[in-house]
Amino acid sequence: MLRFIGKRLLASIPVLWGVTTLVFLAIHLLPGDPAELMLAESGGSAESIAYLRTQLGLDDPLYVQYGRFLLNTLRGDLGRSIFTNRPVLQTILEQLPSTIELALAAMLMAVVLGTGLGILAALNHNSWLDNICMAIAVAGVSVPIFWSGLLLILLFSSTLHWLPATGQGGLRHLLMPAAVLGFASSGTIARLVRSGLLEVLQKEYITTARAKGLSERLIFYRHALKNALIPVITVVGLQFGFLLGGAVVTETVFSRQGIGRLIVDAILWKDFPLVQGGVLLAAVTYTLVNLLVDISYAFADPRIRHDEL
Amino acid sequence: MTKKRRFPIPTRKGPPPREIPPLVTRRRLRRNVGALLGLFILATIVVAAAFAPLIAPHDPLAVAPEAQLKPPSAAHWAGTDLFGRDVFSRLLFGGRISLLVGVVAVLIASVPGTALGLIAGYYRSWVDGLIMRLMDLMLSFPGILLALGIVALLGPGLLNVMIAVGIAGIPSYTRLVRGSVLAVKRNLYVRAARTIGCRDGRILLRHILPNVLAPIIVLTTLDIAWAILNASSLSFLGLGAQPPTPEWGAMLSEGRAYMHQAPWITIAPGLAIMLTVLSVNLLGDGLRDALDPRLRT
Repeated sequence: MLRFIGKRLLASIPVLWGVTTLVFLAIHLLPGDPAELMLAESGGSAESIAYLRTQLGLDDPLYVQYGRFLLNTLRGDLGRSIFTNRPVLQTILEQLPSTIELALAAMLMAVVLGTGLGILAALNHNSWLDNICMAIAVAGVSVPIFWSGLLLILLFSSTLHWLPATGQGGLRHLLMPAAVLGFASSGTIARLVRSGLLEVLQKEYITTARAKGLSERLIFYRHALKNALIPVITVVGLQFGFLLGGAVVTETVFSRQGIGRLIVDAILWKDFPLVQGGVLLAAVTYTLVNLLVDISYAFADPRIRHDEL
Repeated sequence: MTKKRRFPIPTRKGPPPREIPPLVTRRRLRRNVGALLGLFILATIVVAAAFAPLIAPHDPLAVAPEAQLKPPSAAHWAGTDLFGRDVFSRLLFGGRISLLVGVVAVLIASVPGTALGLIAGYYRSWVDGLIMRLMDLMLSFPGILLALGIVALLGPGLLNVMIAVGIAGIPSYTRLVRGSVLAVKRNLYVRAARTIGCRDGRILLRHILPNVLAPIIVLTTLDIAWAILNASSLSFLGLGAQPPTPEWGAMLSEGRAYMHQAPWITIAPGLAIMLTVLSVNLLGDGLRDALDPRLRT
């Protein structure tokens, strides 16, 4: 198992390096001067552009800039925000807990709702209940997050006054954003659980279990559900990416702090170091989460690590 | 005396061919209630958007201060916005933009994505490695963050959003097509084409591409829904269509501040986005079931 984890860890190094390189190159692939672009909106003078060029080291050759960027990134130095002049990493790390809190709460909602709908649909295959569950799942992937968020605010905050519409802190503030984001993600999980269960229920070991005279309940929970849920682990990893992206919109709708809102604001202000840092950190987090998922997958399904070694 | 054949004629043995006759596909599609419902809703939206200048009761950009924030009525079916503009007329014209954005973004994703997938799957070796590693890198950026990053570089605007959403969609096509090419290129007709001296370009476009088209069609359909949703999200965030363009995401964003006094400004465009995305998803699911029932979820 340790060898498996080591192999996975090593394999993620080139990915992280590639992501860092892509983020660095993106800004330099654009035609024109990045310093001019950054100050275009605020109408920066020639002196301020020249100052920014020197400050960002844009006068050096590209390979020097790249080497410096890599070294600084390794040291955790992602530069300074153009507008606040605060270190990018510090700014992002301040916002990170809020986004993680939202993503985890949404993930919990998505897994509970998605698994529930999937099980209900599979157990009532080809019935009206199956159709309703799958209709809810399609609705989940079709409803724009910003719309469902606004509708919930309209209902639970403006009309019923049950929950606060915006802001931070505590379960009451987290409930609506997590529900909106979780619902959007639950559709994919519901469909996967349903199809996984339907496939597993046709396996020979289920027939064997029935032939042994086991109760349907035992067959379902011990033999079918356990095996059907294994692929869900992978999707949870992939959905984490969706949730990080979805957090961008959710945080804006509910005026929550977080990386998503920070990146959007940074884009609107053309604060490139902050955008660069935010996108890089989100990609690194996503890669690491998928690494964890890979490892936990091997714990859940011993066949995986045997195949790999 | 009959001449002895030097090469045996291949007989149809082994697994049945993957391709499903169009008639069967159509019959399966006709039986799928969800797909039919999706097709009906989508067709209605497309017709309404196409004939927007004829159907729209008002000019979508005409400002009327006296009709500010009016609730839905006989004169204004979906009410009016802050500037007294008719929300229903704006919805109809907005449909043109949202559908166009969806189609253009998917074209930007599918054409290069498919080409890269064909090349990677057909040539293998270092070209395959290079293309696929690049795709893996692009997939390392979660959700719409890649599109966000591209918009950050290109600047806000509808065209840039189409490009950004399109580029972010490329890897899924490359991966799908590459996988299909790897399976198809083992077929005898590909080897036969190579034997009779067909050039690579001809083999790829005439022999391989038509046989990997089914999954591409399914992905393209489902991707239109994804593109419309993402593009409207970016417009909602203020990075896409700019006022006074009647784009659904931008309309919703404009109406947000008046949600309590005039909820119709936000409800109507949101409903339009949801119905469009839902109909495309239903149709895409139906197409997938019809073209390849094994993929059924």
